[in-house]
Amino acid sequence: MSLWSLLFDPDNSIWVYRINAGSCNGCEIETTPLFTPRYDAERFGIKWVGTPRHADVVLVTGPVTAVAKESVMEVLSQVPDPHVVIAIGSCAVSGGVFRGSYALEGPLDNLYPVDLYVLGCPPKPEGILTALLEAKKILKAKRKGQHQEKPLVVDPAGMVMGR
Amino acid sequence: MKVGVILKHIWENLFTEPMTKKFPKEPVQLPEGFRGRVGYIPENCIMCNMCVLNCPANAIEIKPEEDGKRWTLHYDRCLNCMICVEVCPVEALYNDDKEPFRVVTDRINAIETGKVPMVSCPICGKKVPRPSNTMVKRMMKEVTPRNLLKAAVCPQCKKDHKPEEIDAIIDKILEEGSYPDMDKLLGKEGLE
Amino acid sequence: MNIYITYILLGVLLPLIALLYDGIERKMTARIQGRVGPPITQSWLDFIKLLTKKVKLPEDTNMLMLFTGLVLMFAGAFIPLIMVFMRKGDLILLMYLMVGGTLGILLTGLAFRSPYSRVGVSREMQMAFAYEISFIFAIVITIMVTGCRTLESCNVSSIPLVKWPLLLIPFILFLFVAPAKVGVVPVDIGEAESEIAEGPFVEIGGRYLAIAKLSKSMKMLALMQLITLLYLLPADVTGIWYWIYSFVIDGVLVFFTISVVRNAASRIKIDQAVKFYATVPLTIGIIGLVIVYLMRGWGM
Ligand code: SF4
Ligand code: SF4
Ligand code: SF4
Repeated sequence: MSLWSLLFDPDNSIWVYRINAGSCNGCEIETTPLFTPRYDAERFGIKWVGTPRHADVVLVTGPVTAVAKESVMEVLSQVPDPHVVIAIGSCAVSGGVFRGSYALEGPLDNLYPVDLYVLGCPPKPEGILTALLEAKKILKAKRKGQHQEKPLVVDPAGMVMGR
Repeated sequence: MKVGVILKHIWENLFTEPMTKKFPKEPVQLPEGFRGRVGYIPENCIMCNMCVLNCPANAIEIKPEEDGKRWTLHYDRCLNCMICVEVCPVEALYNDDKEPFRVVTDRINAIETGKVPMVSCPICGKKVPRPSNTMVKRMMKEVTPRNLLKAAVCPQCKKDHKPEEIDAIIDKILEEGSYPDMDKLLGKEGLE
Repeated sequence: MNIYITYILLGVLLPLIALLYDGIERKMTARIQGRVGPPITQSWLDFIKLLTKKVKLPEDTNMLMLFTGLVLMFAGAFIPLIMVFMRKGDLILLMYLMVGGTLGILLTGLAFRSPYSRVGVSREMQMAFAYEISFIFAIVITIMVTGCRTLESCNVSSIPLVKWPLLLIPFILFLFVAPAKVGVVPVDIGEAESEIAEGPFVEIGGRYLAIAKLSKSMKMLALMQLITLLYLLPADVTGIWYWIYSFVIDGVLVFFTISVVRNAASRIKIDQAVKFYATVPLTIGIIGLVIVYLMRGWGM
């Protein structure tokens, strides 16, 4: 890291808030190790916060269930700009094994623009860490106003395939 | 005393190397039997649909196209359970642990796809799927143009002709070089 | 003229140094836990980051209360910081200002209707009642022992050697009070991150949160420097050596009173904390006060 980025780069500070949108807890178990000594995300300035108002990055796990939808949307709407939303695990990305269930409102990108997808069920903590480091670049672009909204992609079956 | 134990730990930790993995600089250490992503080898696939039927997440689909069949894995739905690898009869799928995780910005990027082209039957010219390398190897020990051509004979022609006749026709075709889909058969074209 | 330039320089530099101390504390915490830890400029980066973020507040925020709270919080940390480093001012005033900082936290929390914020305020208030008395006791005993009220002369170097053991009582009281006053893990029940999402600060974000975090760091440095100034400055050092000595001892104090305490204990419950502060430090304080009073009677 250069001296400039050590002293003045706001993107080296990422505060993470996590939402469980009906996940099976597998993804939680893989997300928590990020803040343990073994993976230690704090060395990149990544910190866990307890309220969406402090967050820069929101991690969403689980297929958005009908019960969870309202709370998830409420929480996401309270995150101040600029922020990045990351979908963790197959469930949040596409519905995974639960895809097509009557109890789902998701996947998440049908409801809210998602910036990064971490694939896997559950993904490795390294994958989540990579996504968080990737989120730094997106945050930088958003802060400068250079971020381009991705167009909505719909597959032939009418499913939203992300932005 | 408990406080003494804690203070001892604090003292030890301060003067030993941190136990943090140097992850982005060093590669990920994978445990034995790690299930990574699913790798696909279209040369081996016989389009038997076993993987489609057995995938718990309905992540795989096989769709016919004009000149072949397309195998698609929606990696965004995959659970890395490797059931498809287990059920595949011809080792067309394998556990690829080279890429232990994947981060994408777009779900379209999370699609693995492969195509097996249609080739024509050397005798009647009817379109059949390209024979699988694994099947050829199992039945005829070696993957050669000759064996591939033999395997590409359609079921109807196999019924109508005696084996000696088929051998003779294939010898003739190889001499003349008159088979139209040779590149596709050898996997130089059409396979993705 | 010169003195104004000094004050302006200190006003800019000391908050930065306070944030740096916060970063050092985080690094030490990480090392104690066997982690690599953030760079020591991390708190500074967090501060800049918070300034660049947009602010989103609930619609029914009581803005007057929020601003009053933030101003009190900032003043309750910034002015003591300048005072203790310049060694100018009154000890009683300093005490009031630091109690005012706590009041600022309460007002900030009361500006919102979030239940987390309310719970945080109520816990913070209970904690304040429990530990501020010990803090006041410590300062009163110090004033009685040294017999003066200004920060310039009120320290160990200005009293005879035989009286030094008496200052041990307020020093111990300060060590007890410091984690609660700064708000670190065993006793930061009002601002618990994991239980009630930072309590009074749950709804604020952006630059308001930046002020709150800055105030917290400044409060930590000011308290450490106050302890250094009152009890750990055996000779009357001045000039550049005063600064170097202060910063080194502050770092050591931060390590022992914040980092070690924070990692050796887990967060306790509010009733346990109040019970602790209402018994051990308070008893020490009262006994100390009685001893000092009697000694005074004997002409010491
Ligand atoms: S992606 Fe897998 S591990 Fe994660 S919540 Fe869904 S089912 Fe559980
Ligand atoms: S990949 Fe294997 S199981 Fe799937 S269709 Fe091909 S041969 Fe069959
Ligand atoms: S690994 Fe499991 S989920 Fe993924 S494609 Fe194969 S069978 Fe389906």
